Amino acid sequence: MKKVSLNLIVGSILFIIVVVTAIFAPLIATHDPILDANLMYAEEPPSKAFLLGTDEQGRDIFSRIVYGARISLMIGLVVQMMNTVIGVSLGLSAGYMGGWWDEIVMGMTGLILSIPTVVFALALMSVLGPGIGSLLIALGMTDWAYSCRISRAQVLSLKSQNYIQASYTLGFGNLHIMFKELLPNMIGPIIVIATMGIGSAIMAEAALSFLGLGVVPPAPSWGAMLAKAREQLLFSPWLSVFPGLAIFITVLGFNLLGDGLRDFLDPHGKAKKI
Amino acid sequence: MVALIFKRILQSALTVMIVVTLVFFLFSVIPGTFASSLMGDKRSFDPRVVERIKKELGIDKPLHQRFVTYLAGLSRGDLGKSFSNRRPVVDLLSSRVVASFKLACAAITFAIVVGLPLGFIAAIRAGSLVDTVTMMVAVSGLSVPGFWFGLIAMYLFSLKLGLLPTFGYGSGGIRNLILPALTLGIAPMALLARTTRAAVLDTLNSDFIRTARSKGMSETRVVFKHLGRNAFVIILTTIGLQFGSMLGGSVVVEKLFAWPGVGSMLIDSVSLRDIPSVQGCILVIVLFFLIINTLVDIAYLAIDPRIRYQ
Amino acid sequence: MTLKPVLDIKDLSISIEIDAKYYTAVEGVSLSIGKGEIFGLVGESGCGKSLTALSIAGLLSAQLQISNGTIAFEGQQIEKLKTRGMRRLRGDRISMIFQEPMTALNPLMTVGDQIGEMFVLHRGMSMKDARKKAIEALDQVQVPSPGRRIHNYPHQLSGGMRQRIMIAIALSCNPALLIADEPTTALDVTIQAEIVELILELCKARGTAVLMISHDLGLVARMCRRVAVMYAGQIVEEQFGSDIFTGPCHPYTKGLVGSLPRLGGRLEKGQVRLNEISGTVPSIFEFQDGCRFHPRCPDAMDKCRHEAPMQTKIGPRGYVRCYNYG
Repeated sequence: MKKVSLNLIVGSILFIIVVVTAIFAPLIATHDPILDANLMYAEEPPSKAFLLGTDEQGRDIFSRIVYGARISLMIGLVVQMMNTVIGVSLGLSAGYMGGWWDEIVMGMTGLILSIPTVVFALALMSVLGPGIGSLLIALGMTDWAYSCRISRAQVLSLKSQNYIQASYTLGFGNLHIMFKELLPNMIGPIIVIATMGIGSAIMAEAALSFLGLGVVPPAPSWGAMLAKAREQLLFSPWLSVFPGLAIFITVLGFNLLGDGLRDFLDPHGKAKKI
Repeated sequence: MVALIFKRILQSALTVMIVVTLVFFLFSVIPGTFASSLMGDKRSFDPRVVERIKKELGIDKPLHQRFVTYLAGLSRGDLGKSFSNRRPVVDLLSSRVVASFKLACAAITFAIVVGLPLGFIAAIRAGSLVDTVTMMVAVSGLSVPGFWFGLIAMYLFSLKLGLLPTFGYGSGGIRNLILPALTLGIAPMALLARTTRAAVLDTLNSDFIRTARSKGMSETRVVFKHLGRNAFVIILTTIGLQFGSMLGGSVVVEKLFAWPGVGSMLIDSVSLRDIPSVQGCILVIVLFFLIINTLVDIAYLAIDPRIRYQ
Repeated sequence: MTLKPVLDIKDLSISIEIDAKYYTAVEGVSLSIGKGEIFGLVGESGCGKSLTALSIAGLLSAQLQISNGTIAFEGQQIEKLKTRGMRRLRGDRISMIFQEPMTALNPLMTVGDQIGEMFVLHRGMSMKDARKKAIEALDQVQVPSPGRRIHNYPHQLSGGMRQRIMIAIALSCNPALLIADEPTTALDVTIQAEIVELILELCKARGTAVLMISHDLGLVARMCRRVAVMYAGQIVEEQFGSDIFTGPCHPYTKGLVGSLPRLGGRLEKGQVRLNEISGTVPSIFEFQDGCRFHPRCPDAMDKCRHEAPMQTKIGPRGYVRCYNYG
């Protein structure tokens, strides 16, 4: 029986809120997030005109947060897609073919796992230079280890199933078996991991932007907004609250959605974890 | 069993070598050099000055020669000299490592002390309100951006209430440690709570628990003598992974609280293009991770007889 | 013989809760086992025999509950006994052995410690003394070199050996009743006979009553004095073991006996393949009114569809639930 849990419901709601905010940003925001800057109104607390207050450049925080959803979502989705594609291809092929390729992939995975994401992204970005392109590439190459391990584990347990052996005996090529038979049966856990991975990607981007290495101002990245807010912590604490809250709600949404999808697709927890 | 340990150690050593090599060659191709970072925005600089700096730093020699020198230095325990302040990297790192290690220990202690019982209670009372609330707390803990939590906590406890110092290492005492450790420990705590819950639930449904009950022992004994060790075996991996990645994963927390650890040294070195420092930091980070995980593997050999007697 | 029975179950019903709805998994089960008697309970997977066994030992999981009936053990009503009371009986007076010996033993504890634990729990011994008793116990279940075996871990032993360990654990405190839930199903055929013989031998020597649960009618009929057949949560027939095989009464039992392939036998006229009982066992969601077997029964009458048949005596101490007999 497919189970629709509370996680799934709340997660989906939050997800929809964030996506709608991102898509309809121009309609929801009250001001222009970058251009509408008036130093006269700098660092004002929340008011009727500026729903969440203004930042140090006089820009409306609410509008910046709304537009920030676009940045976070875009980065999160692209990065996670890259990570998932890399991870699943490596894991699928490693598990299926075994032998030396498997050893190499497992070695690479071990290597990647021993370097914390932020550190690895840092290193890559210093090679690639600043900017959103390098941010995407750097993050897109650091988090595939998890989906790789899961895919590989799935393949290993499915490989011995009779229908796979049957296909093999009937002469179906390896590619066919991998993509038409194994992959569709692995989709469940992969989707769950990918969903939660979007949350981590958004967090990672926020962390890098907070350090000044990701998306640079004046673009309204939530992480960068928090970095600026830190400087004004004593006198304008509200600056720190809202961007972080936005990150929290978004990541929470993806995590709950991922949990909910897992409950839905695999209510008895039969899928093996790493 | 000794053979297995040896094999693990060898594997780790190989990993370290690969990482060191990769980092070395990676950073020799980054755009911009230390020299240019010193100059700042000046577009025109005297090439002779650049040449002199290069000679001083030893980066005028060809790449492979530098690599050999570096490796030779490594075997002696010499990690080169920092470009920015000419002191040996090893010296700079030693105090930083201590600071990061303290932070990591405090954070993982918090994570274990709070996360394990939380997950355990949630599993024992699975399906109840306690379970739901606990897991909601856990998922929130995973979703909270560390630096945001740190900022808010900083504001509340330090600036507003004046209970704790805002940032810095201070004299290395507990008061300075609390906020950063909590900030760093929240996500691991949440993950541990979830992992513990899953492990305990999984074990609770095992056949041997049913056998234990059929022997007529009290539920306490079932839980502590039979369930405990079996579930812990599963949780240990997570603890190892989390603790192992804390030396480098603390980058953001260290920056936020101006904690003089390896992470903050890494960021500064990267922006300065101070290659020896960068290499030293990454080496230490990876080494720490591998050491911790090798220790965990060794612990498994001691705890789980199935691995011991193959 | 009017000795008090060791186990006397009257009209036991067990309900299960799924998605906030209640279903009856076991209904109206009655049986009684005398001191030292070997009793067999036979049925296919899902017929409720394991649930019945677990309910006797008080090991039902949270969604299951005894909704009706009584269980009397050595004269004492135990179906309503609280946890602490049941715990005192378990291991000491009532023991159980399970189907999968590999997963039924704690992989992180030595075999000797797991047997010794019984003596620590129920006889108040120290672990050191308990281990000595464990060696004795291993010897009784015919495990060679018991002194060395007690230091082994479960994964180092074969399936048959592990089941012997389970038997040693179960019989260590000389319980009055041993419940054996399909103890040989997971074992190789060659070992099955050994284990069955071992159980019989040990229990006969100690006067331990046995409730032997199996899906193998042939095995049970041979070793048990009396046999009850379960179908869809109810007992449909109970007879002496020697009689049930040669003279099954209930159509289901007849079907079971008839579906056993006979080696070297001649095909009867017109027979081309193995006999089977057509149809499938209903799940707890599909129980209908009337006799639960009637959709598959070759002898069904109109009456069978509307009213569930009660027990009818057939011969001395045997009964059947079927309108074909009254």
